[in-house]
Amino acid sequence: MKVYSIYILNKAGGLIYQNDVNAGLNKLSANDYLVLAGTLHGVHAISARLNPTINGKDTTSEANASPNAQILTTGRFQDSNGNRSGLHSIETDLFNLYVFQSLTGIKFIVITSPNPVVYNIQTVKKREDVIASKGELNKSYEEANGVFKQLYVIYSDYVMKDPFYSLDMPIKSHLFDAKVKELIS
Amino acid sequence: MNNEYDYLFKLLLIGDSGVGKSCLLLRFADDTYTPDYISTIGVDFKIRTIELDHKTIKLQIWDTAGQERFRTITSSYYRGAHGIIIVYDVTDQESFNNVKQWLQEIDRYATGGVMKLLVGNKADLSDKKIVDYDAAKEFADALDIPFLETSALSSTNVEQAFVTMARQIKAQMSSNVNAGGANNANAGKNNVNLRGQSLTSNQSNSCC
Repeated sequence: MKVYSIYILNKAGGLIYQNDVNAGLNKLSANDYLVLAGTLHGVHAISARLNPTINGKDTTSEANASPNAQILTTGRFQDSNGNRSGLHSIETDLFNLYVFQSLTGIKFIVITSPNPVVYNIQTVKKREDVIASKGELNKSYEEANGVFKQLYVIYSDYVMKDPFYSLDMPIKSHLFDAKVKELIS
Repeated sequence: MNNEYDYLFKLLLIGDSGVGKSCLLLRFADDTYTPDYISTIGVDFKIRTIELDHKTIKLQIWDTAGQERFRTITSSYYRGAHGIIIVYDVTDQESFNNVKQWLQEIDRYATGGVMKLLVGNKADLSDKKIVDYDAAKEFADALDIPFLETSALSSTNVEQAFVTMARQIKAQMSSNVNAGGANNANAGKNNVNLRGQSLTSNQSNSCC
């Protein structure tokens, strides 16, 4: 799995950081990146609403409340990904997109290379091939989660602890930028 | 890294269906006008860059659908908004009466301390005007919200409405930064005093 680009969206859907790690990508204008980020934010919000309800009960609010309850009872938070009800990933032939959301609503978005070729059922001779390709899919998802974890740590250390950073505004820290580059390469 | 803008503000346009939210946005962002009524589906947004005190500010303005059936989606967009513009139609009393409901929506979904602005649109239709300027002004003053009458058709006050809002948000943001920084004038008044008694000196006697 190769990381193409990284976006960070604030809780309002505004793009606060964008890094096209892969030099071969076509560049967009600043406004187009903002439009892209806003659109993803919208799709995320809508997909959260499409979440099925159980016996007429809204699962979205419950899913959003449970991490807090978990922290209060255990004093620990198991999964840092607060993205329980919204869009998780988009898989296409040309790229994969993964979304991670912090509890405060910051969205980290990573665009990576597409999944390795999945065998068509008809052409597969052996059952093992199918299992192998399924494993590959899970692997890239796990890998993306690994990237998110490290990214979240870097964000916490070099953005949130920066006394000159104002919340929800574009990230301009050179140190953060360097650390992100380090993480990806 | 992105160095093209210093600030990114999210503004939100709300109000009844057909009051001219999308037209205001179209006038401000693209400086065009269309007399046709096209209902906004869910939400739409446009971006315009402005310059204030040598800082480049991107205004990302979200235009919500006024129709009731989109309400479940639009409420998700209040989160994190820096400024909310409530629009009513000066030729439609009902849209003005509903401003109260829209203010309740803001209290329910938006962050506390969000900037608000009341805008009476379609001010060019003076012969059909029903909502009096003074009545609206009085209402806005009572709630301590700035008020403007605009016209997307003749572009009266449109620029002012958005730029005033951006200026206020920026001012609020820099005053927050100042309050957070070391302000020697009120040092010791609002700040936490870190000069406590030494713990080690008290305990030195009881040790072993």
